[in-house]
Amino acid sequence: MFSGQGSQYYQMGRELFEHHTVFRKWMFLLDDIVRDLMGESVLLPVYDQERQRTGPFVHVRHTHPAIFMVEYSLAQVLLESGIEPDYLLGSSLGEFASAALAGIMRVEDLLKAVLKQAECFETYCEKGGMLAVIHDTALYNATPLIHENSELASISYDSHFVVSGETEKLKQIERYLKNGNILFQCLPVTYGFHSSYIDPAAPAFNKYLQQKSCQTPRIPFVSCLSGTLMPDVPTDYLWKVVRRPIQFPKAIRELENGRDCIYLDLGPGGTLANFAKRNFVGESNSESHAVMTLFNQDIKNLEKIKGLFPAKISF
Amino acid sequence: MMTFIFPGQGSQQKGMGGTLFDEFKELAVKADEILGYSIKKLCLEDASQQLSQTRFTQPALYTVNALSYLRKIKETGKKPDYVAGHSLGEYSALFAAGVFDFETGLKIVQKRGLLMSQAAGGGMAAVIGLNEGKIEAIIKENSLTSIGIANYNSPSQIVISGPKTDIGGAGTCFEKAGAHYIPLNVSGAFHSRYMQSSKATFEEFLKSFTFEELAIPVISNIHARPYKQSEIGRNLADQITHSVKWTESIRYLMGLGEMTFEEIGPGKVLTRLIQAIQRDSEPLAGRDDARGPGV
Repeated sequence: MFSGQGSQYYQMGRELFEHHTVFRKWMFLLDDIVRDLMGESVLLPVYDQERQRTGPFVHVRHTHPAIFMVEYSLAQVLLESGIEPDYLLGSSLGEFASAALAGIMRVEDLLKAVLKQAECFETYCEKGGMLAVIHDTALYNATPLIHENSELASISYDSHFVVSGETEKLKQIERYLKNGNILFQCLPVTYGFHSSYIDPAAPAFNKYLQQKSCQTPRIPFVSCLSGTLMPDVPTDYLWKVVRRPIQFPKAIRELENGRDCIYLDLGPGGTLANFAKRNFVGESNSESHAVMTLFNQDIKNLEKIKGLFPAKISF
Repeated sequence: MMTFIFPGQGSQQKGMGGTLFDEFKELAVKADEILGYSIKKLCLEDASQQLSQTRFTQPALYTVNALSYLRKIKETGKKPDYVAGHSLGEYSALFAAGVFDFETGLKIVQKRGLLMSQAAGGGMAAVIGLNEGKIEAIIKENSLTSIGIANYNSPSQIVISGPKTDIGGAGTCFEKAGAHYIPLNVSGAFHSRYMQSSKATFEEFLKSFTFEELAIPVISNIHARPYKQSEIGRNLADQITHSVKWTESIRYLMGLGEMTFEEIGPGKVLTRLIQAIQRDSEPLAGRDDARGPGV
């Protein structure tokens, strides 16, 4: 599983970057592509020693490629350890790394698309924000002050949803939630992803996408755009995944479907590992794990995950 | 140049083969007749947890490898320049080279799987992180005389075999030297002197078969050089008691010139071994089809 905007922070994957050669190799390779195109490194701001993990990491021109890079590099680490996915699941920007693994486009082309998308946001869109509300999802429709001032971007599980909107309007919602003692969290983003607030970026980015072609996924590919297995992806798919609502619970239902799965969250925040658990129902023996978290246990988590998959030895 | 490589025991996984059994329905039906059970159900459902039992693993992998090869040729219309397979995978390589048809190969593999599954009291373990010389030194220093090297998988992955209790007890000797020691789920000491009686029965069994001309060079596990037409039967029997020289086989192929490897069959176990071999060892110099003394 690959998460999107909001799951990033400074120093994400730092332990892997320092100690794991495969992770480092891919981070440098991808950073070279970024430098060729943008004229600046993404690794420098991400691993800037002056920055605290808990400080907000928000510039989309850095966060967009950085999220893609850590996710793709970590996926390479797992592949190298012999852990191969039966399914891929991306959410929002995370669908780009998922698409790279599925071979929908070449990794360098997807990274370039990530950079182009970030550029379109910066060029065409007003600043905005996103709020995660930790409460019964019915609250959204039941509360005019919330639904009139925002758009519903995502339902993560039955008591967690995310809204997008203009900064000022989100402040009103924050005040309302505070007064009602409802838990919420401002996501570290400066645009209202998954809402009409980013529509101004659509024409330019879709025009860019028209020059690209998408291949059939080589690994069964579940998208939070449809919440289902996608045998093929349309060319505007890479826009829709950041514009349309995220259908995470539906995607998990598609994967569970009478099976027990091991879900591995390869995003920086470990949020999807948590969301996946919240969507298991009834008799499910599925499990869900994260590698990178804010708590700097990447290597330990990775070793634990390797232990779940017995080594395959030819004899 | 292109070499197709075929995985052996250890690469099986539930779900392997996917739609191949429907795509090559006629062959799947023939396989069911020979085996007496549904190969498709075994590979896709494995309801009775048999897929990892040698007797079932071997025919299942052979079938999936062979059908994967047929699909590959159908799709590309292009045959490889060389083929090789790891242990059981060598039968898929011989099938690809036209030495026998699918059914004949399956009958031989079925017998081989059955005989090898009957070997009891043996064990195997993978030693990861030590090279051949270090492993031999540890075996000598600790007088582990019953233990031998079964598979030279890569410069840092070597599988040993011997009596079950000795394999169980040897772990600490290797771990002390910094190795990662992984006992394998198998009841026989494959590729060792303890397989002598399986080999003898198998050799008798093979006498009733004749082998067609090799249409593609097959690199043999026990010699790490191309098969000779006149030695096919003997080679197959010897393989049961001899080490699999995978590292040397790949180094030989690397030495033939610019070589691409493609794994045909389930998983990527051999691909990763080849990546390690390419990283950590040199191609064998020149085209040397001669064999060293003895085997």
